[in-house]
Amino acid sequence: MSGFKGDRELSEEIRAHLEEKVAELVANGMPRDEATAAARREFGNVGLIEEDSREVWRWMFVETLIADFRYGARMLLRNPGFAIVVALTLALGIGVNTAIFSVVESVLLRPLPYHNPDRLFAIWANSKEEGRMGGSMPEFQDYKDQNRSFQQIVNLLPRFTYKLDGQGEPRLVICTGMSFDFFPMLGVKPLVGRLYTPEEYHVDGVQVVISHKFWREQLGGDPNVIVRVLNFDGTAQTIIGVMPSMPDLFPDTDVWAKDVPDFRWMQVRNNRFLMLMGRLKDGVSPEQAEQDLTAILHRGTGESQGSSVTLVPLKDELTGKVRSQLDIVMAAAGLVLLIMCANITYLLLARTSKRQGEIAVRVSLGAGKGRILRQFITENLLIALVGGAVGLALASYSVDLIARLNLGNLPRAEQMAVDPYALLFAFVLSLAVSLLVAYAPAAIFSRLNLHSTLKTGRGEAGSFGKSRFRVLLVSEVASAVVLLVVAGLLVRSFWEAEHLDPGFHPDHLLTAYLRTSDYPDGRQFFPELVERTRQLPGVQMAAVSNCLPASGSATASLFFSDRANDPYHVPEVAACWVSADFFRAIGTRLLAGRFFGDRDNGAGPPVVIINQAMAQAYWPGKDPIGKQIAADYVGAGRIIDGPRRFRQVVGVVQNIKPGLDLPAEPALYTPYLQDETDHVFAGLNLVVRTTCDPRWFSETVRKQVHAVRPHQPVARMRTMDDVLFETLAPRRFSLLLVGSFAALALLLTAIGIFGMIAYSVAQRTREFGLRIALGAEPGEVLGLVMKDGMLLTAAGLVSGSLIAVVFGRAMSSLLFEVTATDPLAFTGAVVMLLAVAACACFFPAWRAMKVEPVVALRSE
Amino acid sequence: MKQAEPRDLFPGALEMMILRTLKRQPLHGYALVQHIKRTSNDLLQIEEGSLYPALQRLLKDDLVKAEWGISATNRRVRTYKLTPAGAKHLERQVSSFERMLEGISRVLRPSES
Repeated sequence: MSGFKGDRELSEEIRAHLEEKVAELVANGMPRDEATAAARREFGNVGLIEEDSREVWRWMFVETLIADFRYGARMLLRNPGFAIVVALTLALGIGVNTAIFSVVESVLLRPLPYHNPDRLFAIWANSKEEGRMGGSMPEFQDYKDQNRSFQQIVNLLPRFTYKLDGQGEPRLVICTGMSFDFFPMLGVKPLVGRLYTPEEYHVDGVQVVISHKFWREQLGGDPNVIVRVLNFDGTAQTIIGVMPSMPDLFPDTDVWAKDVPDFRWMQVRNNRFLMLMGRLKDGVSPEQAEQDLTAILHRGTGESQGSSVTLVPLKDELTGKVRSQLDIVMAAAGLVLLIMCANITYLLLARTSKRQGEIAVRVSLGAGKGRILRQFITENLLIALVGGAVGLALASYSVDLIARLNLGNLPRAEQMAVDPYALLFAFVLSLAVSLLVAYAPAAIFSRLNLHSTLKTGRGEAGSFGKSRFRVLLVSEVASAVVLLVVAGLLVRSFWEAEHLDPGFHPDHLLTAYLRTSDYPDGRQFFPELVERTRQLPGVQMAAVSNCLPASGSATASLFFSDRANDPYHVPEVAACWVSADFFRAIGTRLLAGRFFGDRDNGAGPPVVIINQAMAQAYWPGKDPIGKQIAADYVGAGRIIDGPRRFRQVVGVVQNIKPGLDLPAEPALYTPYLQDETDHVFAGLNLVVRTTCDPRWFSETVRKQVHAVRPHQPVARMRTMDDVLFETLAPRRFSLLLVGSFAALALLLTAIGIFGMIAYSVAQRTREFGLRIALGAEPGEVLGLVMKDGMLLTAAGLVSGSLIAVVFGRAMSSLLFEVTATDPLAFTGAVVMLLAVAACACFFPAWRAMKVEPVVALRSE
Repeated sequence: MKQAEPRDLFPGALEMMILRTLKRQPLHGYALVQHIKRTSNDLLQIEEGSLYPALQRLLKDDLVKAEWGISATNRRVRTYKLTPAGAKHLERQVSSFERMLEGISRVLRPSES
């Protein structure tokens, strides 16, 4: 019933009434002012009457609502155990879902905070041989000059480093290189100062634009930051601008550097190390733009097939990797909520049937059916609101925890919080749940038989065994099966990832990144450092390399001497410069040939070691030792020209995994002293194998580095175990959440089955008494109840398993070395649920068996 | 809602009279008051204003409906009309009232036995 709308109508009506009265009195000969007074007198207090008329509408609604609430609160307080159990169950369900929603909302749903973010795309080139690639500077310039689809196209060089001197101990800062249009394309303006001018883009160094983070953390938010001079990589650079905080794109950037197109190494067409982005023109579809750029790409390389350009919406690019993780966590949270709703329904069901007497009395005293139904909904609402509020607190706490601990290494995690959207979500969820679970009391109520209920003081809800609530139990069991299977699949994948041989021994390894800005002197520095580190007490082995296991690596394009090389389809493999002891230090086994030795230096003949995957890919069934290949390293700063230098394959090592949960890929290794460009000496990882806990050696190693070369920054000093731990962070995140949801689901399902069967036994006490009185064996009664419960469980298991197969397929990208129908995960889930269900059925069944026939029959 | 003094003889009496009056013909507020006063031979002195809350109650329960129109005296007035539900309600109320009245009068009547 809506409130009173006719406010103005009423006033008008009363005024008309008074006027008519006055007119009549005047017509009867009374003076006008006297008539007005008389009319008012006879009418009464206009304001009060208007108010009373309005109350007619308002009062009814408010009064019943308040009465319902008060009555509801009283009923709940009379049975606080019930209220607390339901509210807590709800709090957990709403809390879990609100927390996950907050995470999903801030990571996946919230639009990027840039001008018209839907038109921003990452631009990738694809080819069969080389997979997904960015672009080279010549390609970028072709795209920029020739395309008809983009307002802007920009290039970026993410995550390179500068050495910062003169601000305490020298250290590395993280730089993101960018082309002129980058910030204008996003619509982001400098917080202080200005951006580089187009002319400045052709000169490296001199001016520098810093990030908000660097300004705050390293320069203390210095208000006079502009024209301050910093020493980066040995050159003085003047700060000209500070960019605002960019939590979505390259959040760890310290310096927004320039991508200077004039460098010779920038001009290599097949050296595709730049990341490309663009803003599409209005009215141009991504497909049209893809065709446009693909044509330009083909013109540039002179080939017409094999490669193509793909556009990925920028937000998908940033969040793509975690989307599947979050999807599965969200689905799991939803299932938990479903199970909770089922449990709450049982609770309400049991309680309502106990209250049938009370309800019957109310009905016979004249309460309308609608009124009583509303009473139930109000009571549910009361509990749901309390539960929702507690759940919200729970969600806010856990989201805070996820953001603070950076659980799962999620992108855009900094801004994660329970915001108004999440608040609304929690509220709507509470309302929806309270309406949903009102079904149970309503269903009982609709079958209420006034006469018999009033007579006996209890209802005849009848056997639960025949009621439609059986479906509820089946779907609860099914949800639990799905959760358990999903959790099982994740556990299995995680276990496989952690226990599959990574191709090296990660224990007792300490790693650090050493960046030197002046290359040539590296040729003396690194060998000396390796030698002196190896002689430290407690150190078994030391080596340097420009890659680290599980941290990605550079790539090189391959040329063979034993076959024709197609210049348009050059294969690329992972490639790494290493020192002689690298494999021995990390514990990788040699499968054929030999390791590198001291003679494999700049003076020795060029050699290469390949991994097993590469041997299988390019010399299947043959012995690769002695074969000749040339490997052109690609990447920023690399120039690919000059005569091709062929290297002899001298050894085959086992595969070193690029990440614990990634499959092995073909890779080659070359002696770092054989890099004739000296480029490799710009920065190398130091790897130290120790005899005891590697963490104890961090200071020793740091001192050793400084003994060889004072002021050498030592960055990212970590144990290899830590590195590996981090690579599994997203997997651990989803496993942790889904795993705890599954455990929760198991517990709730046990409670649910127990509650439901116990309820049904209580309803059928008389029947059991009768059966026993008529000579049924107690075992038969036990079996009867057990069969009832287990049949429902079995139905749930079957339907749940079928749904779980669908779930498993959908999450195949998260599975590692495990199929979606992994028998272990399914058997585990089914056995666990069967055991839990059997226990949950047994106790009520036991009680049914112990029914005293006399007591049962007399209890009516 | 405080009430200084009872406006009706008993709860529902005013509503009953309104319904009865409207059953005869649709009327607007002022005309209703005049009609009730007149037909009760001014025995019932109802405060004119108390009519309006009662009308709102009837509107809310769908016993009457209202429409704006022009009265015989050429005024813009809101005319009330009995709905079928109102007619039924009136019938029930009247019969129960008559029974009550009969009961009361029997008790009040000097003993016949």
